[in-house]
Amino acid sequence: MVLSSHLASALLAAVAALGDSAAIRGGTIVNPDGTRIDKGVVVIQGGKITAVGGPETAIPPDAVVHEADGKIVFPGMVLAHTQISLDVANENVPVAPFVNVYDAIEPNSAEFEDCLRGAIGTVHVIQGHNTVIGGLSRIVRPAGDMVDYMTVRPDYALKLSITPRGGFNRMTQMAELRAAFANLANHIESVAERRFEEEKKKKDEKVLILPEEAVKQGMALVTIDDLDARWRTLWRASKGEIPLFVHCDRAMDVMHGIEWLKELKLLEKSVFVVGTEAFKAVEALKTAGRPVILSGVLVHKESDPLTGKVTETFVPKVFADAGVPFVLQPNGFGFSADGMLWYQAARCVREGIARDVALKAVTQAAADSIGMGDTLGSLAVGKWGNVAILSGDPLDQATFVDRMLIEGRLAYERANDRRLKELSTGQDLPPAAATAPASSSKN
Amino acid sequence: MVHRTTPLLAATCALIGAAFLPAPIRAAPTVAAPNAAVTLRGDAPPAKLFIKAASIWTGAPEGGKVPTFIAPGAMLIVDGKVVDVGATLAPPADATIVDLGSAVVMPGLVDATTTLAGTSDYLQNAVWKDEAVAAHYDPTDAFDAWGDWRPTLLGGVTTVYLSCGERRLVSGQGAVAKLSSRGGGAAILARQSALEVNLGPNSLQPPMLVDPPLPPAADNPILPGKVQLPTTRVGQLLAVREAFHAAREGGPAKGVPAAALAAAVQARRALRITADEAGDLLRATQLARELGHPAIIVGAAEAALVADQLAAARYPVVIEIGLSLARPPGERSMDSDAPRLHPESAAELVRRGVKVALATPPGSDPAELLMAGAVALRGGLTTEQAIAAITRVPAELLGVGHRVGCLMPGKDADFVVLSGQPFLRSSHVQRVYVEGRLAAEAATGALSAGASANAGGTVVLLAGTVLTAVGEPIRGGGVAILDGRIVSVGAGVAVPPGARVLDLGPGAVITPGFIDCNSHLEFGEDRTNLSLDFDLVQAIAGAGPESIEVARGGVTTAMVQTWQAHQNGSRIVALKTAGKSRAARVVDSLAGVKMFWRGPFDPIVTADRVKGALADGKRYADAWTKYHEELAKWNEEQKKKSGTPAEAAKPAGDAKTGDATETSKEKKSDPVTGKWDVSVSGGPMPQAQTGTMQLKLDGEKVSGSFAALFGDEENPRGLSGTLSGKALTLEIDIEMGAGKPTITTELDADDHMAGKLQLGQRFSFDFSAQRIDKSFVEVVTVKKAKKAKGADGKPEAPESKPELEPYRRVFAGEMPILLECDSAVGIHHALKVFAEAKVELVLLGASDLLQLPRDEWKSVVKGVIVPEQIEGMRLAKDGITRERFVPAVELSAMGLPIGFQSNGITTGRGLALNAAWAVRQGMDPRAALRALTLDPARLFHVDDQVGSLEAGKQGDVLVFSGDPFELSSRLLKVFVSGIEVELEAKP
Repeated sequence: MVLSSHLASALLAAVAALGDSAAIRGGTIVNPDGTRIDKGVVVIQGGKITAVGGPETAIPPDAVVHEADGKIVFPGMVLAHTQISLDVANENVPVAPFVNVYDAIEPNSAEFEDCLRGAIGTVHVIQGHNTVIGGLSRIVRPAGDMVDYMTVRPDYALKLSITPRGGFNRMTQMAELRAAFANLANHIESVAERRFEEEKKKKDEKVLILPEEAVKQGMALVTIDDLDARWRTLWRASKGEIPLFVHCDRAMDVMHGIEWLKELKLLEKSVFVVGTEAFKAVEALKTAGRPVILSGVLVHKESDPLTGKVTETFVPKVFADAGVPFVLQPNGFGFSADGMLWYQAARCVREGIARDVALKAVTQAAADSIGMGDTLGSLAVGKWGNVAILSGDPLDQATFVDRMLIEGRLAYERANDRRLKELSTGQDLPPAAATAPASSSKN
Repeated sequence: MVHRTTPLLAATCALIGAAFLPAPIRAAPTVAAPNAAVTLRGDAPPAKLFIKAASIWTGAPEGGKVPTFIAPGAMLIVDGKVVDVGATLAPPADATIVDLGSAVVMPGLVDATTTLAGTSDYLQNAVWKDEAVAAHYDPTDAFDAWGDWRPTLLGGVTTVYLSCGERRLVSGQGAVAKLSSRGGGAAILARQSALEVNLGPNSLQPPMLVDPPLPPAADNPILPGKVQLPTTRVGQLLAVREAFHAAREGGPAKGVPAAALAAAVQARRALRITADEAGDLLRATQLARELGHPAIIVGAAEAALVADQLAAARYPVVIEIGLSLARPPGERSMDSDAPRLHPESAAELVRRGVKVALATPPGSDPAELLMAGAVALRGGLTTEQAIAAITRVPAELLGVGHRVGCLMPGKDADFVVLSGQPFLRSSHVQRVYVEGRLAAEAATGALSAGASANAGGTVVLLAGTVLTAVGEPIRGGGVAILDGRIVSVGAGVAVPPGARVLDLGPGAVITPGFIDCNSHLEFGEDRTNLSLDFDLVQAIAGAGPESIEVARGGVTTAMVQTWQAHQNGSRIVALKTAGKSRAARVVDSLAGVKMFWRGPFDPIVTADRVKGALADGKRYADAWTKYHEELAKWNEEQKKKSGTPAEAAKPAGDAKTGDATETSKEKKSDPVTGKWDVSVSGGPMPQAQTGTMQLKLDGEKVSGSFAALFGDEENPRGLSGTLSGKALTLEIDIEMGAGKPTITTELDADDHMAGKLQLGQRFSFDFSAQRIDKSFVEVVTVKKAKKAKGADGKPEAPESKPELEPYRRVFAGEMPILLECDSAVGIHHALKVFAEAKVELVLLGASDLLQLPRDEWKSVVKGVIVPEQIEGMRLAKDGITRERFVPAVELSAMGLPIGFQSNGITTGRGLALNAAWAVRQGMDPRAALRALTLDPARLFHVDDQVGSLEAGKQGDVLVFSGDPFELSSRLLKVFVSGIEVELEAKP
C-alpha cells in the first residue's frame, strides 16, 4: 500500500497547490466522439480544462507541462457502478437505506491503483445487487488515503433491486420494496401529525382538528432532522433528491421496475443496472429514456426450452442497434481481460458497434449515468481535467497508461509505478519518497 | 394426424378454384390463401382466419345456442376474436384458410391453479418480519411476460391463475394471465382476482415474527421473535377471523399486509380457500359463509367424502388433480394423514349440481391439465363436462369468462389443435393459437407438409384388427414403431408425444411383413450357381426398383438365393426388400445353405455328392468344435497356472509336450554356436533389456532363437542370418510394422559380440552378447509353434476354409439346409442322408413329400417351402386318374411349418395372393399368415428379428383394408424397418 500513500501524498501536495496550472502538450487529443487534434494542447487551470486546441494554444507560464509527444491524450474513463474497495458488497439486512459506502471504502485498496493503470479517473462506489434497498453510494477519485479527500460526490445514489435478493423471490421482493415506501409514508404521516401537535403546543394552541387534517397540515413542518437514520435517506429518495440505481437482472424485472418507479414518480431519477437478458426489454428502456448500465457479462446465452438449442446474444449490440445509449462495466475487476473497462469497449467494436458508441460507453455515457456528464466524459473546456496520457489507441490491447491526471494533477506515472516494477523485475523496491513527477518540466 | 385427403380439403380445393394441390395430399393441414399456398407462421396473425377441422369442441354450455361439439367444424376469427363457429360455414373471400385436416379443435385450457409466478412462501435465510397473513403479495409483480411459455402452451393451457402458493394462511391476491409464446405477448387479464386463504397442513407453523431493530443498540436490542398463528387448525380459523375483523373494524390499518387485507375486505374480494382434506373442506365452507365473501373452494382432494355438504354450501369447487407425474395433492406436505387423490370427486360434485373446475396442483406442470381432465373422465364425468371443467368453468370462476374458456362468438380465439379427441392418450397438442395467432407448435413438425415417417420418430399404426402372428388377433389396436423397431403392440399401444399416428379405421387389418422363402432378388437373370465360399452379401446394395416392387406387394423380407444351388451348396441371405444401404437391408448374411437333390435320374451319384459335402462340412465343423473345446480347456488351465508361478517359469525345453522340442548337442565348438546372454540398450529404451539367444552355425549360415526384447524364454523368436568373417548379420523372425528387426554385430572378442539392433529406419539400439554356453539347444520358436501344438500347449485353430464355413452354423443347429427336391424317390433317399447328418432340413418344393409316409419324415423335415404354384397335380389314389391338390393345405394340416416362395425376381409381389389362394383352397388363414411370416422366420432362425409383431422386432408392418386373405383387400400401408414404402409412384 506504499504506492497508494505515495500517490496520495502527491495528490495532497497537489491539493495544497490548488490553483496551479497544468498543460499537456504534443500528443494527439482523442475524444470519444471521434474528434482528434494532432500535437494538441490541453490546458487545465484550477482543476478544470480551460483550453483544448492545436499546437498554437497558449500555455500559461506557470503551468506544469506534461510532454506527450507520440502519445494519445484521452479523457479519464468513468467506472459508473462498482463495488471495488468494499470488503463486503452487500448489507445483510434486506432494506438498509441507512448504510453508507462511506463507512466501507478502503482508500488503500489496490483496486484504485488498477483504476489509474486502466485510465479510470472517476469511480462510483455503490453496494451490490443482493439487496432490496441498499445504502448510499459515493463518487470518488481513485487516489487518496482518506475517503473525504477522494470524494467527488458524497452520498450520491441509492441502490434498489427489483431482482430478488437471496432468500427472496420476485413476489416477496416487490412486496418488500412496496412495503418499504408504504411504511415510509406511514411514518412521515405520524411524524407530520406529531410535528403539527408540537407546533400547536409551542403556540399554546389546542389541536381542534381531525388527525387526517393534522397530518396534512403537519406535512410541511417535517424536516430531515425530524427523522432518524432509518428514514432519512429513503425520505430524500422518495422526494427525488437521490438518484436510484435500480438493478433489473431480467427483462421482466425491467418491466416491473419501470411500472413501479412510475407509480412512485421516481422513474426520472432512476438508472437501470441490468442483466444480460434485459436486452429483451430494450424498447421499454428506450421509452423510459433513462441511463442503462450493462452487466459486465456481455453475452446472453439462452437455451430453447423445447429444442435445447443455445442462442447467444451480444447484448450491447442490441442496445446500440436500438439507439439506446449504454454504459459498460468490467466483468469482475482486473482479474481477467474483461475485468478491464477499455477491453469491454474494444469487444463492442469487435462485435460491430460504432467506435464512438463504444468509447462513450466508458466515458461520456458513463459520466451521464452518474449525473456528471457536464463535468466528465470528454476533453472539453469547462470539464474537469481528468486526462489519460496513453501510449496508443485507447482500444488497442498493447496500449498502456503512461500518465494519468486527475483534475490537472498527476495521479499516476508508469515510470514511477513501483508495484509494476516489482512485478516486472521480481524485486522488492524500497518505498519511494514523495517526489515530484519526473517527466514534467517548467515551461 | 391422419394423412389422407379429407372431404373438407377437397372442398377447399374446389372452393379456391385454380389452387393447385398435389395429389395425393399426404400431409394436412394445408394453409391456402387465394392463389397461393402459404404456411401460417410468425407473429402477424391474419385479420380474418378461417379454421377447418374434423371436429370442434366449443366448450359452450350444454343446451345453449352453440353446440358443444361440431363435426366437421369450421370457425371464423376476425382480429383475434371468434366471430362464428359451426359445421357449415363458408369462408369469406378475404379470409386465410387453415385446414387442420383430421385434427380436433378445443378451447385453450384454463388452469385455475398454477404457480408460474413463483410463490409468496416464507423468506429464506433472512431475519426479517414475515407475516402469516399477507394479503399484499401480488403475483403480477413476479410474472415473466418475457418468458418462453411454449412448453406450457403445448400442454394446451392458454390461460392461468397465478397463485401465491399455499404456505401462508393468507398468501396474497392472485391474478389471471394469458400465456403467449414470447416477447411480451403474455398479458395479465385480471389483477387481485382473489384473496387466497389456505387451510390445511400447508399453512401451519409459520416462522417467528421478527422485527429487527435498525440499527440495533443497547436500548433497542434484537428481541426474540414472536410466535404467530396459525400453529394449529383451530388457529387457522381464529387467525383469519381476527384478521378480517381487524380489517373491518380496526380503524386505519397498520402495516402494508394489514392495509392490503383491509382493501380486499372492503372490496369484498372473492375468496379462494384451499383445502384438501374432508375436515378442512367443511371448515372452508364454514369460513366462507362466516366471512360473507363470494368464495371458491380449491384443492378439494377429498371432496367426494363430503360431496353432500359441499353441494349444500353451493360454493364452486376447483379440484386439483395431481398426476403421478408430479406430486398428488396429498403428498404436497409431509403429513402422513394427507389425503389421496380421488378421481371420482369431480363427478360426485357435478352430479350434485356443483360448479366444478379442474386444475393442476401448485408447483406442478400446468401442461398436465389435459390429463387431469382424463382422470376426471375416468372418475365419471362426461366428455362435455370434463372439457367444460378445464375451459369454460375455470374461466368463469376466475372472472375471465367473458374473454376466454369457450369458442363462442365474441370470445378470444384461443384454441388448441389436437391430433385426436381430447382425452385419448394418443392425442397430442399440435398447435396452440392465442387470439388467432399461432403461439406454439409441436416441435416434431407432425403437421408440417414435409413430415412423413421417413423423417424418423415414432410411427403409430392403428386399425380395427391386429394380427401379430403370435397369439390371438387383437381387436382395435395398433403397432408403434420407433427407429425401425416395434416398441409396442396391442390394444393399448403406446402413443408417445410427437408420434405420427395413422388411424386406418376399424376395417383395417395390421399384419407382420411377409417373408418370401425363395427369392432371386439382386440376381436378376444371372443364373450362376455360386458356391458356398461366395458371400452373397458383397453383391448387395440399397434396394433397387425391383426390390421396392416386391416390397409394395407386402414382402418385407426375402430369402435371397441363387436360382440353382451349387453342387456343394450355396448361401442364402435374409434380406429386406427396402432400405437405403446394405447394412439396413441384411437381416442375416447367412440364413441357410441351399442344396439340391436332383432325381430321380442319378440317385446314387446325388447321394454320394451330398453325403460327401455333408461329411466334409461335418469334419470341418467338428474340427472347430474340438478346437473351441480345447481352447476353453486350455484357457481354464492357464487361469489355474497363473496362480502357480513356479510351473509357469519352467524353461521351454521342459515343457510338458516334450516331443515338440528337440535337443541336440553340437560336439564341435565354433565362434558362434551356443547360448548367449544378450543385452539391448539405448535408443528409446529407458534401461537395458537382457535375455538370451541360441545360435547355431552351419557354414556361413546362422540360425537359432532369440529371447530378448522380443519374445521371452518361453516364447522365443526365430533367428537367421549369415556370418562373414567376424561380421554377423541376423534377422529376427518377427513382423513389425517397419519390417523385421535386424542385428548387425561383430565378434569383437572371444565369446563376445557387439553391434546394433535396428528396428526399421527409426530405431537403433546398442546390442551386445556374451556366450555362456557353447552347446546349442534348439527351442521351439513362436513361429514354428504355429504348425504343431504350441510350446505352451495352446491349441491351434484349424485352417479356415470359406467354402466349408457355413457348415459350422449348420451343424451347430443355427440354420437349416434348404434342399430343393422334387420327387418322392429323391426325398426318400435324401431323408436318410440328412437324418444321419443330424442337420435341420427344410424342403424346397417337395410336394411329393405327401407321397411318403409321415413317420418317415416327420422327425427329419423341419418345414416345407411349398412350390410357387399353389395347386399341383398328382396321381389319384386309384393309380390311374390325376387329381389337383394343394400341398400347402395338406402339409399345414399336418402341423408342418410352411413357407411360401416366389422363385422369381419380382414375382414376390404376388406372394400374398399365393397365400390367399391357398386359403381359398382350404388352408387355415392363421396357418397361412404364419406361413407368410413366423414359420419361415423360425425355419431360417431370423425370428428374433422378423416374422411377427412383437416389441423389439424390426418394424415390418403391413396394413390391409380388410382381411389380408380377402382377394378384395387392398394393401394400404407397407413399412419396412419402420420406413414407409410408397405404394404408388408419386406424380
